[in-house]
Amino acid sequence: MKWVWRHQLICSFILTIVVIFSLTSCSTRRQLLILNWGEYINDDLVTAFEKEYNCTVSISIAESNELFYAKIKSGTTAYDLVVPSDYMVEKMYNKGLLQPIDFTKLPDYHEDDLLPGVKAIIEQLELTFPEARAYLVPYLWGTFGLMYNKNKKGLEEVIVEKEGWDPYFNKELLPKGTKVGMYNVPRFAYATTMFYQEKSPNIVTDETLSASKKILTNGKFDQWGTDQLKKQIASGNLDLAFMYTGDFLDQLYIELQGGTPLDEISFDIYIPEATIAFMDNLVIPKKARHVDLAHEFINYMVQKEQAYLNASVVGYCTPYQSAYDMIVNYEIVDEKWIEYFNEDDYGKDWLKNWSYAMQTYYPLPKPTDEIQFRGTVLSNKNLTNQDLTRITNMVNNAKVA
Amino acid sequence: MRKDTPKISSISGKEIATMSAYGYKDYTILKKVLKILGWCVVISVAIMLYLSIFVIFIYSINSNKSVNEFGEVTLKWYKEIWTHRMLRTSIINTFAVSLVATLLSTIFGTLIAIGIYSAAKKKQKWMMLLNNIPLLNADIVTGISLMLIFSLLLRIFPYIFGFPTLIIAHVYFTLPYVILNVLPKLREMDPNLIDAALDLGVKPKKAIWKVVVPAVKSGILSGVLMAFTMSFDDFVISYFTTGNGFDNLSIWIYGSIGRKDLTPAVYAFNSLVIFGAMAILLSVNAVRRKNLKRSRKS
Amino acid sequence: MNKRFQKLATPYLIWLYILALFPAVFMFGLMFFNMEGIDTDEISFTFENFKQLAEPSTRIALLNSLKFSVLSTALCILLGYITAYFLYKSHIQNKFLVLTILILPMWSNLLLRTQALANIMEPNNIFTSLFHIQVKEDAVGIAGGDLAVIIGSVFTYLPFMILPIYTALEKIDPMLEEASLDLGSNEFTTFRRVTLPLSLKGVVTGSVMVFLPCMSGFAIPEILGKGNIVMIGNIIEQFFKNMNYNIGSLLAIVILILILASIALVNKFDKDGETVL
Repeated sequence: MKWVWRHQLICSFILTIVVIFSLTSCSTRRQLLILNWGEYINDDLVTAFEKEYNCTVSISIAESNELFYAKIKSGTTAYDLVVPSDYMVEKMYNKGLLQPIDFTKLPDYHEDDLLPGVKAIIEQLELTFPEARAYLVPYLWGTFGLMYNKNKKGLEEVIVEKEGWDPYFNKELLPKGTKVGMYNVPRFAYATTMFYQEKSPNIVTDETLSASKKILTNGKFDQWGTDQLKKQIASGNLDLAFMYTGDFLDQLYIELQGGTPLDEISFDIYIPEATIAFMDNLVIPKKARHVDLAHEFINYMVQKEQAYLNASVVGYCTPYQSAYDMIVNYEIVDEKWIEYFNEDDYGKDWLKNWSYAMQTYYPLPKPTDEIQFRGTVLSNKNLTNQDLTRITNMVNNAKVA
Repeated sequence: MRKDTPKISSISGKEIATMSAYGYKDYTILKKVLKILGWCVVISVAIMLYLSIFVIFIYSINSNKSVNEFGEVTLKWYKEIWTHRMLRTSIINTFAVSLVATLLSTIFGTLIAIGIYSAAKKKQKWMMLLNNIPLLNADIVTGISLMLIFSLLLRIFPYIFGFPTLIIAHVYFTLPYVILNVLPKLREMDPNLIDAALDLGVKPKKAIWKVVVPAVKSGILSGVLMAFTMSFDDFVISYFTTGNGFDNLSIWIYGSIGRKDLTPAVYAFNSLVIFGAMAILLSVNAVRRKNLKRSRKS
Repeated sequence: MNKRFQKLATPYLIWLYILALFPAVFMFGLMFFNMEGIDTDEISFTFENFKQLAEPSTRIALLNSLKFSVLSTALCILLGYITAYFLYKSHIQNKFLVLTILILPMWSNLLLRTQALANIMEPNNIFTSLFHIQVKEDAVGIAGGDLAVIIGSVFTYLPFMILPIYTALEKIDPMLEEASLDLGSNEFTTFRRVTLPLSLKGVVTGSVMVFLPCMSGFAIPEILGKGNIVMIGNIIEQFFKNMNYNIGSLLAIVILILILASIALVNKFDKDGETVL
């Protein structure tokens, strides 16, 4: 009797496990596995791609570059496409996690169609990562800036006049009672202090760390946050914070769709000359199982109209000149887009506002400008894991000091 | 009159000792005050528990996507739950994982509890200690540990990450809840019941189903409830043990905050779940009451 | 019960050895190495990781975690006991109903609930917008302070306290109280001498159930403390996210020791080893 009992339970355990395994192995349709940022793609495009190429696209999301890396490195899933930022592409390459992209399979990708800003980012990246071009296709890009509350008296003047970093780190320069927020990623916080000292954010030494700690401690930040910062500024609970320009634009679009006219928006962003520039890229991990499909997907996304549509769901900028021109010259745009961007979903004057936002916050450099592009790309080339630990500890120490 | 003599009241000349004379103190007023205060605490606790739910509900009917500005009342986010591609998939995944995991851990948990209950005292103690580990470990440690163990299986089953690993992980951390809810009920049960059943020739399997399970029904029920709750809202462990694009709702919510804002449809879904559960609960309770009344009448 | 059933637990023992005990031992080993993730390519043996314990942030974070956990647990005991006691006294027939009402808020996502709380702790929030209240420009909310974190923990973990206390109270034989009253002690003495000691087991269990998530949680301090309050959970999360499993394991083991101490405490009160309920 005992034996039967034991066997029954063990059998049922085994049976369940076998059933579970067999359930997962029955997906025979071509499946493309993508690891992306949250809400970072236009779902309509994904649906259209699935239909056109008869496959399923399954998108997982992660909220930081470090998690992208952890997910690829641990190998728990063989993703076919990942969307890491510049410095993480470099790190993945250095760890041998990526495979080169076969550009012959991307007939619709034209490198000379890239915006000047994107070209500048790639050139910067190539200084430490010469093979960059062979491994990545730009997806979206942007900068970081200082978002501020326009209703706070005197704040806008100070920020613009003193060009950002000085007032950001010195509360005595700011109007009384200004509440300041910092982006809660140690690497970004460290970079801001380096910009303030007019140094490169990619150097880590004992001196820069202790200087940085002092600056962060003196900054007396009221809040360390990520996506919360923009909401806080929009609602007037915070006055000034460092964040993605795209975060700011997201909030701007939300307010516009909520019915606030452009000239009544209570916040704006100042992009300092020295700031972080970043570019998210489509890359194919070495362990990818559907390499051809991944190339097809990349080729699909880089097409002019797709790039145009994809940029509409986020506050970041398309890397392609042709798509950028479509956004900016909204008056001559095709009828079908006016229908697509209907008023119910996108609010009034979406195309006009979108064009304004791109021209104002992601401007094309004028030919007369001395320096064509001013952002700095983060690089992990000279940084060991120990350095990253030290940065994390430094920022934590500054917080508790 | 001396100070320490009890007060004696006099009625019609005769002296009668009152209850207070024997040390009885009248607490009626104090008791009432305490009772009112106590109920105030209970009500404020209820408000505490449901305050955030109420705020989420307000978000869900706000036409403005911003969480700080109220536009007008709308139900469009409730519609978007079904049209938003990733949200829809993650909701389906969440239900699939939670329901399957709860079912499995209820069945196995009950059987294991019976096993632990029948084991020798020393073994019982050791098992209960181990049983506490999933409960007491920090979620992130559990998540990473499970991920490391599951990756050992990658060579044999390259697609193991996803639904199967999530189920194993969720069963892993919900089993203790079921066991801990069933075990006390087993101890309350009359131990002779099962022996009687077996002596009368009932097969062990049937004895468990017909004798033990009905006796511990209430424990199983609360075990189910806790297991489902823990599984439904889990983020950290799921995050590390999933893969192949199988994301549940919590993973989707946490992941979405990196670059862009959440769609208010998430708030709508959350409110819908609470309302749905409330409605089911209250109607079940109403039916039960009716049945109780009817059985009392007859 | 019949000994023939004890085989039912054997597979579970194996399951626990593989999924619970083995990782704990493995983590203990990780403390002494330096590598990325569990990548054995660049592995080296080291005691460097222990330096992490000397970092001011680690020390303060541990103290913070202890402080906030103890305060939140104490508040939870106070509120939870009163609530459980009144629920018990009100003689609600349907225990399952009580359980569900208490647990239902947890069916809503923790992150969303916490963000909702954070929102209404700010001077400008959804209600001021809803009711068109004009907020003064220099108004300050409670979000970002110690109070906010404690409130958040209490609001979130209170059900874990109420449930075990309520269960413990339910188990008390009502005859005992009647006997005490009949023997001449008043209701307060009865509560103090009979009910309270018998329900203490529930209080201990509840305390552990509140204390532990407070110790290791990171979402609540992060959001309600507006990133200003660093807790040990935040630091552990940071290290694991950056694939530094070595320091992450070290800190996790520190917490685990605290947890084992609390299990020992529970076992002292609860001889059967039944935590939770």
